[in-house]
Amino acid sequence: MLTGTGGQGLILASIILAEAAVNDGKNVVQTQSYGPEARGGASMAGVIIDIDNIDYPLVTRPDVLLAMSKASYRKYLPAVPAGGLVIVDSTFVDGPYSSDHRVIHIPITDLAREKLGRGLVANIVALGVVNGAAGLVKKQVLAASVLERVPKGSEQLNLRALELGETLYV
Amino acid sequence: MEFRDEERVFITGNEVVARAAQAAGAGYLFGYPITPQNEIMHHWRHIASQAGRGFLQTEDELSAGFATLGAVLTGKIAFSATAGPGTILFQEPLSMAEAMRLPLVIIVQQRGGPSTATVIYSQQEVTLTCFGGNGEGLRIVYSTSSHQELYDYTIKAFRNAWKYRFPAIVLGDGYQAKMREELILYDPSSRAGSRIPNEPIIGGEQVVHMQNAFSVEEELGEKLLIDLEDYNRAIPVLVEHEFLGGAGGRLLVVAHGIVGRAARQAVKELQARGDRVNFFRPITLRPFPEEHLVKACQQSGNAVLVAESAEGQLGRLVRLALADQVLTSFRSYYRPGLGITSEEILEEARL
Repeated sequence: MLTGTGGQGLILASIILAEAAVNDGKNVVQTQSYGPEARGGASMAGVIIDIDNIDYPLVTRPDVLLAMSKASYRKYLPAVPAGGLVIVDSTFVDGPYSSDHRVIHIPITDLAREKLGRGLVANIVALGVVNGAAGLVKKQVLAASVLERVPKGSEQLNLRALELGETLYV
Repeated sequence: MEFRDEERVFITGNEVVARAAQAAGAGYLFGYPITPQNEIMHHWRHIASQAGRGFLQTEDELSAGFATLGAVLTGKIAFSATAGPGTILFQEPLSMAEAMRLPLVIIVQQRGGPSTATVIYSQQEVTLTCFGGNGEGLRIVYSTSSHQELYDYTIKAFRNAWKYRFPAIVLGDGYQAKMREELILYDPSSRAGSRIPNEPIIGGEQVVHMQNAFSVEEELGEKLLIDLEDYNRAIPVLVEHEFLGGAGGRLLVVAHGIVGRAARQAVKELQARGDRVNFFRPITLRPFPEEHLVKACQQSGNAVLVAESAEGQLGRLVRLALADQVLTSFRSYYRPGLGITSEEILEEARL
């Protein structure tokens, strides 16, 4: 479950992750929240990756939560089962963090600004962190999926963003 | 055809619909925008410019519906897409299609109701699509639960609308419209029985007299008898359903569309625990697979649980179909306008 604020690019990140998982040979469903929240409030995109067929298509109990805003952290954390992986962008979400979950807190957006000069690619950095920590798809498959979706001219920047994300979680 | 015989894709449901209409050979889409079906029009506009098909955004849904009927009269395979309040406005062209036996095809991506309500999800357009209008609801309504079904039944809707000359509706919802899922696109012309008999209905040598108004009651009565006879004759070949389970069950969980997926998952989990719960999903809501449901109910101790994102719109169809049966138990899990998870159904269905 990738959550944050409308405009952070999390829906695009979810589509990239979903397409990578499809190319990795998995069954995948990608969904997103709409309505007012898509215009500035808490935004949520869900990706279900399974070896079996997927019956219910909406994410109800995420194994992995990415929270890139305070509002989305508060709103979606209760859905994560105890022990679940929670990745927090500490640029926006202060601690103390949940002690019931495996929390990774990294200032993702600050690091995107500092190391890449563009806060805009924080979504791809976050995607790198998520995949690095959760091991959802093969690295090279995810990189190929990023290249297929990002605007022309921004390929190298986005690849560096993905690599940065992957190295942030070691 | 623009794609190879088979192509595996990962796209949204709305794009699936546009690709299916293209594959079925549709030439025209007349539509008026409304969430959550807008991307059907969006994708069709691209298809129209690239593959030489027609597209017109009309001033409202009435116009979209009647423009589609005009195209159909000349033998063109045409369709429209709408939702919610748009489906209400569509009742007038839909009624005319029913009266004049015109193969109108509409994709309805249900949103919440009544009125403008929510933009994405509900299952509250069952009654409207099955029985809306001042007639007998002589139409075909497919409720899909996966992207593959959206593709298959959109193609089928065109084929059966033209074959049987009843309007056909593909009933989806905003979840299906917006989510991405894998499916296989194929060229239906390579499959048996795929031809759509779309000869021009008017405009030939013969003068065709088509009526949607009658001055004498008996005239209408006679015409309706013929239409009802045609419809009833087609029912056995039109009805489709999914059943999971077997004899000796204690409960039958019934759901349609996307809720069918939650129900199927819940039933599978209960079955894995050794609980004898069966699952029934009507794919055609109109005509309704009554005989199959009766049989499934008998295999399930005559006890039924209906789950739907509406207050009994499917439930009424189920009760009607089982009216002659001795139902020992009828329970419902109605959540008008709200999604239903497999956990919720499991909680309702377990002992």
